[in-house]
Amino acid sequence: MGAIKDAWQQLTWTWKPQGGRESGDSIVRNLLLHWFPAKVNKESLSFRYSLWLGTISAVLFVILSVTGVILMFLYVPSVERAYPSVKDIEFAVSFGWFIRSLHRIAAHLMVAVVFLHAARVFLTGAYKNGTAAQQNRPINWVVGVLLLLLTLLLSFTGYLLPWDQLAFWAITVGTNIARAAPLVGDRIRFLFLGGHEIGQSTLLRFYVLHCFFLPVFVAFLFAWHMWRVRKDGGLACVDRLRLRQKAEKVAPIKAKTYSLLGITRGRRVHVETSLVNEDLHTVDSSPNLTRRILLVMLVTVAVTALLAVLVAAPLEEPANPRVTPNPAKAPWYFLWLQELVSDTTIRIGSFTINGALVGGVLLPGVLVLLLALWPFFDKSSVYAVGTWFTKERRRQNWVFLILALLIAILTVVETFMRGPYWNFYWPWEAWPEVPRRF
Amino acid sequence: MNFDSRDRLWIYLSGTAILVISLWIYLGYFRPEWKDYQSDFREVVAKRFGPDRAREIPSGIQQVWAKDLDRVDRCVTCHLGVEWKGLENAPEPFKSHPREILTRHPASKYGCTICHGGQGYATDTETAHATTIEHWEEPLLGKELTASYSVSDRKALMQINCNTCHRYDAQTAGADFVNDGNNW
Repeated sequence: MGAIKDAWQQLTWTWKPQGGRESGDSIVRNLLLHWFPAKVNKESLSFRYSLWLGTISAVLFVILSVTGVILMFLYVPSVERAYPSVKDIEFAVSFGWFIRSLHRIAAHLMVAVVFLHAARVFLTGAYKNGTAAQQNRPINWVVGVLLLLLTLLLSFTGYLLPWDQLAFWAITVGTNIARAAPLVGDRIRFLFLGGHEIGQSTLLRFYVLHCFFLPVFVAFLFAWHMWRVRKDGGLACVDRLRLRQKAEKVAPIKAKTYSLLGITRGRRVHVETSLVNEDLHTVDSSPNLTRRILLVMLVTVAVTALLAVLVAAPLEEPANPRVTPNPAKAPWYFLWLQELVSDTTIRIGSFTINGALVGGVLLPGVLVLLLALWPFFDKSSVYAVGTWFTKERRRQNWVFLILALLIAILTVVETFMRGPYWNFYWPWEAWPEVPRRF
Repeated sequence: MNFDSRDRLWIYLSGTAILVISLWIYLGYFRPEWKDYQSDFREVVAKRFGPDRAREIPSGIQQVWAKDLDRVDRCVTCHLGVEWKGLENAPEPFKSHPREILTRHPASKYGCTICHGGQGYATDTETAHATTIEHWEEPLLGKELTASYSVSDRKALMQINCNTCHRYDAQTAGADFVNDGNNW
């Protein structure tokens, strides 16, 4: 019996602490036990400050990963079998329609939520450093922008996989815009497509990117992003607290003064600390933080599941390279780009401005670069960190909001008001009938 | 700041919401449209042929895999009487298929949609018949379409699909309209 127990323990215990020091180490060195800090600032837990958008996007990523892995068992990434396999998921697989719908809704929500999270961080100046040592929030902001771009790429690569008309032509639009990049445009398109046409190579490499490489990059960057938040001392609102703390005068305590020559009378010395008063401002992570995370997880899952049941995932006709839908539109998060491309394609006499270059590559390229590097241009003081709409950062906040609003307007215009032949139609105007078989 | 009670309330609310949504999905899973058709068919067969024959009827989604045509047609999930003898006057969807054409074009080899149109993948009436849905360009060439095009002969539209294989035949037996067109 003793021999069996020993053998079992040999197999199942990776490390059996011997003695007090090793036992202590087994707690102190445990990653999971230290995932969260022991105490967390009350401000950080507030819904009004961060709206918990970062957590929501992480939960959506988990939903996408779980549903994605299930779909990987059922979907076939071949041009002949992709569409029928999606149809089989919809009709023949138990709850297949729901898993697919959940995956799609979570994908669209994630693009929106990640963008909103970036907007929140910008508007609260949370990409700025506070007063604590060794902070580097600007780097975390750049990591965040990379995560946003990866999210867009993940959604883009996933968009092609159903291999229907919507997928095929959306990717045609997207990759043709990429072709306009100077010098490397054609090569980038060739690399993306695995050739000159969208075909089997495209489908396969989009599938591999979508299911393996991009999620791995996201996981790695997400880990770095989270680690940086801890290293920077928590959310930016904590820095705001520290600064306020500095401004508060702590009343001098009646105490003895010690000098090199022993106890003296007269002038007293007290230390002004800039540390946050933990008792006033922090609570235990367990249960306060963990309970809120559970809450956000459940609400996100509930909302996503409800939308998945109410809104069916579209599947148009099978992809047909010979039949272009009229109009052919990019995925919704690139519609603003497509609108810019069409608006910057201007004919002046016999010369046509390359709208794909100007509106599709240069303009968004400049915007993304500006977004990524903004923390390094921001000249506002440390007092603007971690606060919504400070006076100091008012101008940059307004510019950001106006740009975001313009992008939103372009997206809405493109969705509802661009009809066949890319003509403009008011919402109340009917679109002309495009010929169908019946 | 009292986090506790409000957080707990939201946790219970969202948990309940997830439970309700799950039950709603499960209800749909256990009561699909085709289950009713299959139990009705069992009753029809039990009445006409006896309970032993009724017991042989399979349950669940049925499909025909026409390998050569690379098609899967799930019409037989509801249209269970297609290859039965003796159901010529049964109500749809249980009616027997006309014998002669089925002998020359067996369902196991051709499926159903290659001639009749419709969406073979689907397992509910509206999506399968595909006369009112978007994004399926091969609707069922049956009563609904015939009525909307005001065609006198109910079987005329179906002859469109004879051309899928018989396009280059000079004359095709049973496809009068197509033959007329060829004569022009």
